[in-house]
Amino acid sequence: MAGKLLLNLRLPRVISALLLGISLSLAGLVMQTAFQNPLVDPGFLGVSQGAAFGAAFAIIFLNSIHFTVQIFAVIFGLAGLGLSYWISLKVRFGGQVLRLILAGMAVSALFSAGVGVLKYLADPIQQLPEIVFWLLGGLWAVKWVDLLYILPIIIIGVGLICIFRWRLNILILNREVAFSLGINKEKETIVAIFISVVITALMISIAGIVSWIGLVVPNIARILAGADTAKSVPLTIAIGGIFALICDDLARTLLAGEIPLSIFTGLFGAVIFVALISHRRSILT
Amino acid sequence: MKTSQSIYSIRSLSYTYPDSKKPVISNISLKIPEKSITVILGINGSGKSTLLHLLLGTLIPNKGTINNNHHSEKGKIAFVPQNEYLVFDYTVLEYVLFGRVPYINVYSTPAEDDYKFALSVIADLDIQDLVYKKITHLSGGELQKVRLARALAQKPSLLILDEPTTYLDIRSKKNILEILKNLKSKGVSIIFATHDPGEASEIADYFILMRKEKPPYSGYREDVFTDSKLSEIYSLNLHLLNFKHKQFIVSD
Repeated sequence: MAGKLLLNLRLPRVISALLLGISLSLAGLVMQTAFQNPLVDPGFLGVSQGAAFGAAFAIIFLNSIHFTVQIFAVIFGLAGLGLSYWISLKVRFGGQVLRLILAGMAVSALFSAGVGVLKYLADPIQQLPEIVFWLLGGLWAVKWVDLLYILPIIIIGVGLICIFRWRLNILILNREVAFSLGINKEKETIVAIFISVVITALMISIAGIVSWIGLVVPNIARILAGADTAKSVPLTIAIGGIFALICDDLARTLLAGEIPLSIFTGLFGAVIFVALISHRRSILT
Repeated sequence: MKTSQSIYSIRSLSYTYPDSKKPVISNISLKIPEKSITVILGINGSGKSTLLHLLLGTLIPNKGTINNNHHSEKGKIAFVPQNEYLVFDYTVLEYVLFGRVPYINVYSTPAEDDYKFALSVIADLDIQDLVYKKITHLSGGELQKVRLARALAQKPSLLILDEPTTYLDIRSKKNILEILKNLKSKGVSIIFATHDPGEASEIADYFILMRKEKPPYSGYREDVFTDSKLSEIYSLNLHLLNFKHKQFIVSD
């Protein structure tokens, strides 16, 4: 009985928490490197809200089959990023980073309005609870079957980032410098961002929107290991996995009922973030 | 007359940016000599950077041809842009190692040889004391040397630099120019853009004087680096004075 409980309820949840932390943190690290901005995470650029919209859409109109929900989360996550990028090209003031972040805010707001519409349209008994679960973020409903659908792709995505951990550094180089080194920077940037959006959107498809991990963990890793991604990638994986696991354990055990995971990631994330920006000038300059 | 092989043969080259109607570069034909220092001289907006990007290959000519007579091998042309946006706290050694990219497999990390090579370049430029410093904490002159070191870690046979001394004080400037002369003596070809004729006079063997909407003057010192041609490109009355085997430029 205890063994079954452990195997069927706890184990998938522990694995999901680890993968969630690892995926969001790594995606954050990749995006921060690619955009040369330590304050970017997938949530800033419309990916999270896009994925949430995609999943909610699939739940309502396509009757929530695991695979479909996940595909839609990925497609709309990518669409969120693409739309943010496209709008950032139209903004006529500010540097590239400011434009992207402004565009990302607009796209996130657009998709969350879309999610609002979907909630309004949803069947209040069957579909609405499922959508609300998404927006709170949490792992209490994760079963082996959810995990097994996404596991192979997450492993491939995380594995690729690990393999190319030193190569990732070149995303910070000036386009002409990269060219002189024989690198097509646009191509490699697109591949890296694509991988991070896919793993983010897949994790969102089973865990809902979990904020702050992708922003804070890479910054901690960089402070401890330095900017070189060959060193910060492994540390990001370790810290991200443990951070999400601790938050999820607290969410599960602190009160008799479940507390949404995002409350803890947000709480710890925000405190650590304030500590970071008040002690490190260079994070913002 | 000096005769040497050319690294670039340029024929009737023109370039217009996609969002503009006026060509930045029109009808350039010239040859850039090998194993010497070529300076592209001109006022701001005269097309110096555009010409450098065309030579590098990041811009494709609208008209005409650029033949690169050597250096087809990956990484053999190194480039130091005017400025780079650097946010993260890489150490100098980590940053210089990026120059080793052409020699490192995409899924690998730098090997011991790459570290050795990077450190030897750092030693050549006499910046050993910066090895573990963060690139975001360097002075302008230090950073410029570090960026040069990153380019040299590529083991280039041609080095292209865009206004490498623009923001530097006179001592750091002198230092960079000495490094470039030294590289030339080791057989590296150098092309660099500047708006400072004094600097050009100090190190250049071959001159390209950019003129707005007209083909540039190009050639060796005695043919091109003259009062009248300099005065024309800067729209000022300039005179060359010789003193202690050096040329100085003064205006009226």
